[in-house]
Amino acid sequence: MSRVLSRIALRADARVFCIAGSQSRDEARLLRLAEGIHLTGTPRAANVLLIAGELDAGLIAPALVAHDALSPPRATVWWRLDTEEALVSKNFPNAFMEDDLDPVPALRRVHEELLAGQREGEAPLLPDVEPAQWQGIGPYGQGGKGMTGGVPYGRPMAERADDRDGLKLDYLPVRIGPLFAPLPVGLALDVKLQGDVIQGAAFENLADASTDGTSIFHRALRVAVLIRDLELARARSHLEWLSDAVAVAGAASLSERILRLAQQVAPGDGDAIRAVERTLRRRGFFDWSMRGVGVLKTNALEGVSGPVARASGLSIDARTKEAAYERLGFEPLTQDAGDAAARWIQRVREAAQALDLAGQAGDERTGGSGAIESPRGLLTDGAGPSTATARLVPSLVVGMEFGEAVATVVSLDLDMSEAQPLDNHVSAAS
Amino acid sequence: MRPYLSPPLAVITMIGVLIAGSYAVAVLEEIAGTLVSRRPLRLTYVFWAPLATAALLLTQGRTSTERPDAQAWALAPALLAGLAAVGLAVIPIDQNTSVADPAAGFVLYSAAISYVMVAVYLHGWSANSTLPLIGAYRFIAQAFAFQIPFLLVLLAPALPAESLAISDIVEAQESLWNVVRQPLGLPIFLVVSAAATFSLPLDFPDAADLAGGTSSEVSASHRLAWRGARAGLLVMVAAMGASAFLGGWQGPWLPGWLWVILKTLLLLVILIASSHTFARLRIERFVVLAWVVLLPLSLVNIFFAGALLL
Repeated sequence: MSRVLSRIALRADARVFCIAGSQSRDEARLLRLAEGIHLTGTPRAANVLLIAGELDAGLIAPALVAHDALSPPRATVWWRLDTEEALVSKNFPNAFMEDDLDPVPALRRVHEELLAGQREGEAPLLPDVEPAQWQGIGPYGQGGKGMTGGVPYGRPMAERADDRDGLKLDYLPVRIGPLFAPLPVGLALDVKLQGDVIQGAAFENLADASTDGTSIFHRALRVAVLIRDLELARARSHLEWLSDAVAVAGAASLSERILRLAQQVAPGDGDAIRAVERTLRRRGFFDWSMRGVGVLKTNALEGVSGPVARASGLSIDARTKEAAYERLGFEPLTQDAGDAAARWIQRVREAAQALDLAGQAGDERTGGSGAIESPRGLLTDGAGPSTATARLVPSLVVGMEFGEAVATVVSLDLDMSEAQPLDNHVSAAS
Repeated sequence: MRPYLSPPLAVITMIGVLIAGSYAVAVLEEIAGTLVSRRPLRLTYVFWAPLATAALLLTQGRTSTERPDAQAWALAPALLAGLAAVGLAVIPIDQNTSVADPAAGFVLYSAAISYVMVAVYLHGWSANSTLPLIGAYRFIAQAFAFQIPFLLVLLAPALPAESLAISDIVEAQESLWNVVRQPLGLPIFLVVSAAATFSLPLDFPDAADLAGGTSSEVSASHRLAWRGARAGLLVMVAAMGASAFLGGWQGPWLPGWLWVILKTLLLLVILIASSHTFARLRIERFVVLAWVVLLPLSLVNIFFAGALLL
């Protein structure tokens, strides 16, 4: 019987939980289009762990936990992506190393070997023990007043606090991330939950600070590049973000279609993107889903740039100061609403605008001045736009229902590896 | 008193309907996903994928969270599947064939729908983990909002039949189906059905923004059971919609049972297609929509259904 099941199961997509280092998330995202594998949102649904690129030091411990949460028999594949350091191989000694550009054949092979019994499942990597000794002052190990508070077994218990209706109710301190699929890689949110409402929030950035990005925007800091290439990359970045955001909003199949579009767009394809905007509007992504969520007023936007600022009505864009863009007739787009819907629309429109610009740009070049408008905002040598944007998160999510908070963070398009210097703990409470 | 299937045959029929129904749901999901994502449609893959996935989940080992309420956790999918079976049992398969067609079939069906809240809450709570718990909380708000409109909109078809037995409700549609007689009924029913089966755009307890919510911690056979039970629930509401609004077994040329299957499939296609079309509503919006729009509309629906009888 089990042999028959295994034979049938060979036809199934391999269930893969992918953990991407903060420098490899673009490569990892493309695997959503691959045939023969299915990326899961939780390690419990997978039995193959794929580690893409080099993991940030702060992600190793959560990755070990995720490994042990995979369904047995489990296996690990490390898709090296030309990385050199050995942090992954040291921590995942049994990982199957894959140097190929396409990890899908290796993932299929591991999946099939596991099913056929040719590959032994990996044992858990962490000992099955409590994270800390039982510690508490009360008879039940609790540390606060009455039955609440304290950290028995190293885990914070519920405590009491005022809720938004003026009652004293339990709140639960929990950490969301850094591998929580909807949030950007490396962002760990420490929230105090009352029911599904966030009453206090802090975040920690577990992504390694990237010293030198390899994107065209980083290259444009030092040398002049073709506007055509730069704007095409901007449109791709916005569409890839859109694909992620649409997936979090529940539409996995539409997300796949947008991701495929992101790979196919060419200079001059602005109309294809405007068609996407109409599709999203008709399907309720803006008005039913994101309207009024996470409103950012202009006075809260100190240091914030890029689409997030422009969606709140600030007309700031480094491109306006460049002669080449002036010759192309560039004008920054802005909106007034400042909510998540506005940020979605802003990025979609900027993607269309970028493709229009790329179509007209010819041989015009830009860059080399040490500052460039990247898809997330103003990028300078040593400082990325996500630093300022990430700082908005704690005060923004307090008081929100959990799903709204996730939608809000997603709408900010953070890249935690450029959110530096490490201003680690920013917190807020209601 | 109508003839029932003999008990052994009834049990086999119910199991068969649940399994075949879940398979149909999985295939329709696969087709809808393929069409929306604009992947090339490979029919052998579409028909094999659900079976292969089920086999894969059955070969895997189960994992556990830290200190779950293990019995309740294992019970939740069984409870949900059981509720789907109870609801399906009261729906006649043909004019003279049913598994159970009690005089108060509507009441039994409604009771099954109310207990969905218990199954989902149990599933989320007993995992002893954050994301499932948030999913469980969400479903309480959702369930309070959809339950009353759900019952009211199903009560309206009982008025022209002057009976709470589903077969009488079907028979009363011989001259005119309720989808025409009560034009508000089916649209409201479809919305509350999406909520009751926690399908997109109303999949709050198991949503992607919770990495799967109440099912984010389940693995292997447990995951298969939960997905199967939820698919069974979809079949249960679609079959009820077919009987209460689309005239059940009534139709020309084809045998009655085939009409029941075709009409159920039609409603499944509508429910699954809309789950691949619309963005997830904000939960607050849905609760407001349910109390402020759906509830009054379903009362208006009942009022007109009653007025037509005078």
